[in-house]
Amino acid sequence: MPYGILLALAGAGIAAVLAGVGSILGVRTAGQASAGVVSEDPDKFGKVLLLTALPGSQGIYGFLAAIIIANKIGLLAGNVVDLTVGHGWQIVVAALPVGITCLLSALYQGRVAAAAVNIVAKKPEAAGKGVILAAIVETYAVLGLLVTILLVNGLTF
Amino acid sequence: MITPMTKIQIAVPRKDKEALLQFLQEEEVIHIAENEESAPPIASDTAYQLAQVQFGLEFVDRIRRRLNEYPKRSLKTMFSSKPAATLPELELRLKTVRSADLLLQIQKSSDELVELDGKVTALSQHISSLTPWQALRLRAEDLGITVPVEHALVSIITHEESYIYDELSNIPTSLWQEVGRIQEGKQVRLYGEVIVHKKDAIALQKFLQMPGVEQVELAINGSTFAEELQKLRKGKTTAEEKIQQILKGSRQFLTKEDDLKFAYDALLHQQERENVEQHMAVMDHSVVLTGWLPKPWLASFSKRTSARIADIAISEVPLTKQDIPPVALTNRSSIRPFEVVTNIYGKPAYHEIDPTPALSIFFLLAFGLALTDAGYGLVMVVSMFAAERFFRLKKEMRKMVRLLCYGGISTTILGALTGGWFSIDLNTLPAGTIKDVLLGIKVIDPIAQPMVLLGVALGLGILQLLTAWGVRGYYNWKQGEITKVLVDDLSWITMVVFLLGWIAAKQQIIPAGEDLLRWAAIANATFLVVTQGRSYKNPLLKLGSGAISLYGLVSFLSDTLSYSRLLALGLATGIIGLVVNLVASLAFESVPVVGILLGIGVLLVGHIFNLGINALGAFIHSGRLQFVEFFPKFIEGGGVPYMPFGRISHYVDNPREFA
Repeated sequence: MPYGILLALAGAGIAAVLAGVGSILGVRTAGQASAGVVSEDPDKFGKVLLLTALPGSQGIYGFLAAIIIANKIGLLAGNVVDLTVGHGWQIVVAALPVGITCLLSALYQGRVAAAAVNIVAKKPEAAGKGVILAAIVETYAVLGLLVTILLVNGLTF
Repeated sequence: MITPMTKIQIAVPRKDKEALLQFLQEEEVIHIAENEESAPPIASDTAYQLAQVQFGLEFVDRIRRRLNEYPKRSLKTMFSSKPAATLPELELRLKTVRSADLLLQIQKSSDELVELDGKVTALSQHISSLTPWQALRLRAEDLGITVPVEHALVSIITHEESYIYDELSNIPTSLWQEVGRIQEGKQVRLYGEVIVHKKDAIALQKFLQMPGVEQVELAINGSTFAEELQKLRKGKTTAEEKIQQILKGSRQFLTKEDDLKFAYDALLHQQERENVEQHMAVMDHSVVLTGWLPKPWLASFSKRTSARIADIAISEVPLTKQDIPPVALTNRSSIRPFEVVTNIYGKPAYHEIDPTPALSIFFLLAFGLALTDAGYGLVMVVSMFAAERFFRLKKEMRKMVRLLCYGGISTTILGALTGGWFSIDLNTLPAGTIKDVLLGIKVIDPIAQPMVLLGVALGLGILQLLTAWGVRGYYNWKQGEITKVLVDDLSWITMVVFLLGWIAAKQQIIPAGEDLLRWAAIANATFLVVTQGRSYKNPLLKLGSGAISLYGLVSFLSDTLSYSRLLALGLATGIIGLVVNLVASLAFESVPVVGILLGIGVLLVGHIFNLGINALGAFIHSGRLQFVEFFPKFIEGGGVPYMPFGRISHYVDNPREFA
């Protein structure tokens, strides 16, 4: 059924796009703060680069979820499964956890990372603690990814 | 490992203070300890001398730009274009600069040049203000003639010329003589003379106040505008000729640029020594400096300093609770490049364990999995090998190059196992040995079997996270905390192993033992519940805290899932490479000959971009897995980096940095 596959593709798109948008915004926030520190002290680039890249993980999780969905419907192997509209909706719903958690966590992780950039500026030796603080926000994106993987794997067509 | 540090005091007679400081600066081994009773700031004119040399260098740069003469740069010095010199060599060049009065000569030439430049600028402005009026055959004194007329030279900018003429025609006795005009976009600028009878002077003033009309006051003396312009142009040419003479004479300073740079760094290092002087305790006849030194170097350091300064005393100082030793890492040469990764995170605390050896193999595997293209791996290995062989690299840069070389080797192996060779579909290769070999060593197809590769990535995560507990156990064991090793480290490792075993048995991945593994997991969990809250006295709190500690399994799961990024990054590399190949194949087929060149261009640019962007991603995310998932299990960080007193060079490198 064409509508079934269309919905499944929309599910993969939701996962990749929501997470990607979150990462774009999060990395922007952290990147702006990092650029400020680097303008004062270029030697701190290595430490702030890591903090800037942290909110980029969610985009990767979304991409990963999209690949898993594409694999589930046989798109990667070139043998697309015949999906009903119901199956399509199931995939859309399964894609929501990773999409929403990644969107929001990347946004807020960007803010924590920007705050952690201040740690690098003032106390570079404590930069590791800043990384950990920012990484805590990401836990829930990982859990969202886990839920999506479990849901997609649990679907039978 | 974390280098053991010792706190030492070095005492020398006052006369040997400068010799000691120079020696320490050259050796770069002593991390200066802050002296609570610092000496007052030293009165010195080093900052003034530095400013003078800086001025000289800026002048040389100005001359270089005006003569457009730049030194040639070689490929070998691409990563390090600065010359290298020892401290005595720098001091010698400083003496040369001082004795040759170089700075005085530069100052004189600069003053002359500034004056002539100012003159040329003023003349140019005057010429450009008079140029529009050169057609006016009026002498300056004519403007003040006594006949009953009023003159005004005006510059008018307008969209509508006729409007201006209408306004002038409203003044009965007005006469307009246009001298010149310049089109400025849609507007025109008119230059001319307005003459009216004195009775219409008020009307003229009104006209001059109109928008766009500006009365011009020109300074010329007893000549026409054309004559005045000729005079000014002659004066400008003379000044420009003098400037050329000075520039020609200043060419000699270009050859002295290195002398100035060496002198600048010599003064800079002098200033650094003066800063350290403030941390010295000053006695009646001697000075004492306190600092940190890696303990294994103490004997050879003492020997070398005694050879340089006869009356020197070095003694170890017992540590107090307030002392925080700086942290330096010492590893064998194969592990040393991975210190780059640890340093990005920051140094572990002095009492903690160096994570570098433990992270090395996992970092490499993660890097390789995140790229998974043997072709890219080979390019990295060859280019990094060439960089190390042919370029002049500093120690830190050499570590980075070596690390990327290792990363290339890992990428090559993992790329070969996943069939990644510049994203070429191996099945499309012509039949032959190469195809058979490449397909033979391919174990997983990442695009057709992403879940298998995901399993590999997660498996790597589980192994590294279990290793983290192992490393923590090793640390606790070294500290003599055997209970902690058994209860807090080993019991978590067994918990995860039993759980995974039980799941594997349930999924029939392993043939038998499901019941045994389930009961083992339950027993282990019970053990954790009972022991993890042992620091509390209240039995309820003990059990409650123990039960909550099982949340650690959720953290373990979350950390493991984070390794899924390696699959995503690996796939991204392969898919972008596929797109590059597809676009190139379209280009090849588009136009004969040109299409081939275009296709080769697409392949080169596309794959270089793909390698660059994904190698950066692989580095950052492999590093992140160490910093976020691995390190916090066994270190807190926050150590003070060991930063020995040495040379912070500006123009001249320390040869030791390349040793």
